[in-house]
Amino acid sequence: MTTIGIDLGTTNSLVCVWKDGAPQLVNNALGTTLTPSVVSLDDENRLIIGQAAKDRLQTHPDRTAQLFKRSMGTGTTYDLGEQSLRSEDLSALVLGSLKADAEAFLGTKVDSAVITVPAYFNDIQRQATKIAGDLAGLQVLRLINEPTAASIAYGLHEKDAYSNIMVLDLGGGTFDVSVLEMFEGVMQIHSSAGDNRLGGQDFTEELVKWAAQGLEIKLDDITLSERADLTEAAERLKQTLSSAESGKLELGRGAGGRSLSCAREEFEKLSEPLLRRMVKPIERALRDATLDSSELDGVVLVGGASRMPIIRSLASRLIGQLPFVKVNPDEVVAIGAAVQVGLMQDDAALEEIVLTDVAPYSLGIGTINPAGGHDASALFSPIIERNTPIPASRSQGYITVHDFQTSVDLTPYQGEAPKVVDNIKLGDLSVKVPRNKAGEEAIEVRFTYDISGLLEIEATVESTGKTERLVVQRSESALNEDEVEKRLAELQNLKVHPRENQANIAVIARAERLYQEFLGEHRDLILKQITAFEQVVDTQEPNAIEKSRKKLLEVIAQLEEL
Amino acid sequence: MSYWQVLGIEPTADLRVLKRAYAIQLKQHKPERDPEGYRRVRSAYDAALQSLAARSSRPQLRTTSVIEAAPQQSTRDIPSSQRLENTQQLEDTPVCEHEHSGSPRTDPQESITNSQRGYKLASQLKEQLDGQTDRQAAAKLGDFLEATWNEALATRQVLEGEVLDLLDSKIDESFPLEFALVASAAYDWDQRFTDHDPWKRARLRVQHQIHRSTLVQEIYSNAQRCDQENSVESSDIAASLLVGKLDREKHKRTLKKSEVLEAVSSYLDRLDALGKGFTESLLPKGKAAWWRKECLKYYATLTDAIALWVLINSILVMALARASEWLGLTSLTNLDSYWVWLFILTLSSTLLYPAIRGMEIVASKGIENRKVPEPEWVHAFLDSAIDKWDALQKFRKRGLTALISTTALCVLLLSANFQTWTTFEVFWISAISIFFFCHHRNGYFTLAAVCLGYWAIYIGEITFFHYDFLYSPSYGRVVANWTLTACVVVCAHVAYSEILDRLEARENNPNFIGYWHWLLGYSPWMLVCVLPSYGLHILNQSWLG
Repeated sequence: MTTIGIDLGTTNSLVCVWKDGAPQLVNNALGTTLTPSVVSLDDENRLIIGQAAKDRLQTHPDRTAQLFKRSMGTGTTYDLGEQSLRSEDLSALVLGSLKADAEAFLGTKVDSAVITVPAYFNDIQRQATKIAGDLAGLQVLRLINEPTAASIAYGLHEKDAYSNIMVLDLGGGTFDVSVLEMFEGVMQIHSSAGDNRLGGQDFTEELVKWAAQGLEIKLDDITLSERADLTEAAERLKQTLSSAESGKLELGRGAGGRSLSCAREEFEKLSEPLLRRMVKPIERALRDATLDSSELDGVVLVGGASRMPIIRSLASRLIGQLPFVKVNPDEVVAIGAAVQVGLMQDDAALEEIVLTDVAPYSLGIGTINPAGGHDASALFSPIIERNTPIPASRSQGYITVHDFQTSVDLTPYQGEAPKVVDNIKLGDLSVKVPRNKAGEEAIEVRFTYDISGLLEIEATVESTGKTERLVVQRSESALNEDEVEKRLAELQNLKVHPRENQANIAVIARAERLYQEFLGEHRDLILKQITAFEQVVDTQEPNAIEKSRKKLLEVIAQLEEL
Repeated sequence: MSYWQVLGIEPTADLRVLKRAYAIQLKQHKPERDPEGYRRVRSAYDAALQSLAARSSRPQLRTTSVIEAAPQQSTRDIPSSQRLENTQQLEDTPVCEHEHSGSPRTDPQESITNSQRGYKLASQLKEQLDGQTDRQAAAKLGDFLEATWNEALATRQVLEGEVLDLLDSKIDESFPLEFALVASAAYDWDQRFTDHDPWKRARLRVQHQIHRSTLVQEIYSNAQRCDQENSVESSDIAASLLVGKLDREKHKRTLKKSEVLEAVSSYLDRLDALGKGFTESLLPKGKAAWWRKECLKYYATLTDAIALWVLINSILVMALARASEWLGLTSLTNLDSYWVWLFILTLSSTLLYPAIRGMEIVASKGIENRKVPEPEWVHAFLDSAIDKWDALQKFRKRGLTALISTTALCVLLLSANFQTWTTFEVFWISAISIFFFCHHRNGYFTLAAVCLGYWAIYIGEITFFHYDFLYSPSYGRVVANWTLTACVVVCAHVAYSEILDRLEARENNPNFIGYWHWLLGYSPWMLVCVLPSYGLHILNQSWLG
């Protein structure tokens, strides 16, 4: 049984294996570690995953899906041409591609994985991630929290220190904060907090809005393709601003191109609302860990978006110290996942390392508000409070409130608000009780939260002694087992380009993207080159293809310089 | 096994020793391999940490040695001026150095600036708030917090403490509600905190005060809605009843409306939950007690069982009287003795009720839950009665059955007149039979028809056959009987249909037995119906000599 560690990100995904007592990042078919989490469907209804698909965002926006991690577990579907796929399916395709990369690297079959999820992912989203693993033919042995994974990777360097560390993980779509303590090889997470809908993508979106205003583009009126161009341009500007004091947003190339310059200060102003949203989780994580900011020994920034200087300066301003920069923010989470694989295999190199994690949010059930009759005022009764060490198993007793009621609702909720309406409902469930006077029937409810962050509920009616193990009835958006089977069959019908073709597809996608960006004679040149290359690909002669691809890449590089 | 034993060490005050021991144990009980073992070790470790923390009276010990130098006093108990010095002292203490070299440690000088800045900001805020109304102050605070969003966390924490102090000092005067709400939202006070939170106590106090104020505001605004906009929402009426002047008429009317009583009771519960004596201090004098009594009546339990018992008992006494008459033992058939019974019943439900209830309150004093457990048999009886009722309801729906039962009842009632049955017996038999068997419109029509028929015969006898009105063949007694019966039937109908409605909604209703009380609440009404008939009857009797 071979297990891999996967960082399934909003914008990019990575795979890392535990080999010979150390984590090793795996390159994809294009020779890079980052595989964009983008899926596209080509004209022959074959799936393209990764960089090639990302390039097709601009040329074929209607056949390409991205950022699907954000709607994990919500049942949202993405239309790729005639195909309609859910986030779980799309994530499964990305996972499948990563699995193929790992198999090529290891030379053995891979059948299980440790997948990272944002700490603030709720139970439904975690289940959906697990299902995505199943769909990709990977048994998900463990879901670990992204900041936890980052901490493991970081902690491995510093295993002898006694210190308190704060990990800020700003990924493409999510923001997580964890406070952990390290001593004697123990990595103890004290608290986690976060925002599920805050990431690098939102910063890009701010730039898009700004550019639309500056270039007098109405965002509602432009086509998907134009929108994708704009987003791509904004993304490039964002990256430029990470290293330079000012940059230019360039839309289109050559004669028809338009550009807009932006200073870093302006970008800072644009992103202020987003930065504000980062303060609260940081404050809460620190408060929950019962630490003063002065007691922190280090701040670690993780996630691609944390490369932005504004994030660094925010972190140092808030906490009063410069963030730790030794780790590669893109790779650290995947490395942590691979270390977790090593931990699970009881690898000798990791014998002295123990990791303890916490539940990032409170879990409980809704109870009747004695003061108000209607449902909206139902009170949240937490059973597992947030930042309880996991695996956790807690129980609490409840009594009936109505005379002769025959069933009791034990609707599970996740969140921190005192009223359930403000928390996230995890499902519907109820148990039958014997008919009796109010308060005479007691039910013990036990919540068991396992190390992967999956929840199990057990209710015992005390008078009958009957124990019911309750499977949380998912909301309609989630898939049940039969449906998983069905989706699996459907996914198997979809054809994915073989791994050895991926380099070619990626080059063509990139060339096509350039074709769209340029006008006039450059266009003709690109088109000619693409046709020539496609002819060579059809000959199926590896050497010729290789040669021709290199040539095309050179042309592309030249054009991109322009 | 003590937690020290679980950790495998002697009790120690040395944090490093404790952590090392925990690390050793943890490696033997890894969370993934041995969840149970991990939980045991972890809780032992947490307990040991807490005991160490308690010894140094700090929320929790950390690895840094700064804490050891901290004063033996919780930060909260120190006035802010002194605290500033203490903080300085604390920050000046050399920080334990770590091998960790990746990130530069904060310059102590900078930390001082942070907390000093916090106090400076706080004093600026206080200046701005001076002489402002609550609403203005809330807006000011909101703006202020907006403007200081990117201050260092240390600064923000100091600021939070100062805002808390500010609220804490006003906790018993006119509490600035809106200001507190803004602060609460900004600092997450409305959400749970761990037990170690150093600000927890103060936060809870403020939170408590917010709860009080929001509830009081809610009650007053609801009351206003009722008084000025004539809202008919039960919660609005209830609020108006609670805070308004004592208007007996209005109150009496309300007593019939169970949902208003429920709303009043819920307000009282919520007010009571916010502290002892708070309800009394808020409401006009004596009002809380009065309403509490009325609400308790509504939430009837034991006493209802007693009332039910009285009802059943009266029927038994009646049967006994009948039997004794047949056996020739006594002349209990003397009508007046039945009337006396009726009076007793009526009085017991109207007058004795609060008295019994009062006894019950005394008995349950100290028990928070005011629902007193009932004897098992009452419970069982009511439960089975409901089952039968359910069955009956289905049964009743068949029209034919209703017709048959109605006819049977009519025959019974008609036959009553040809025998020597007394008024009281007819009264009870008809009331109870109708109550149990004849919840059908036809039944009432039949009864009304019979009643009217009797009146017609009676009037006809007097008018056309020139009988003396007291000596007519159907004579007054019978007429009185039927009038009485019709009245009772109407009462019973109203009560019964109400019960049925409630039964249907039983799942949602907190107190089924309350309806028995509700039914008996009709007793005064019955009395009104009964008295004229009784008068007529007495007249009849005395005239006859």
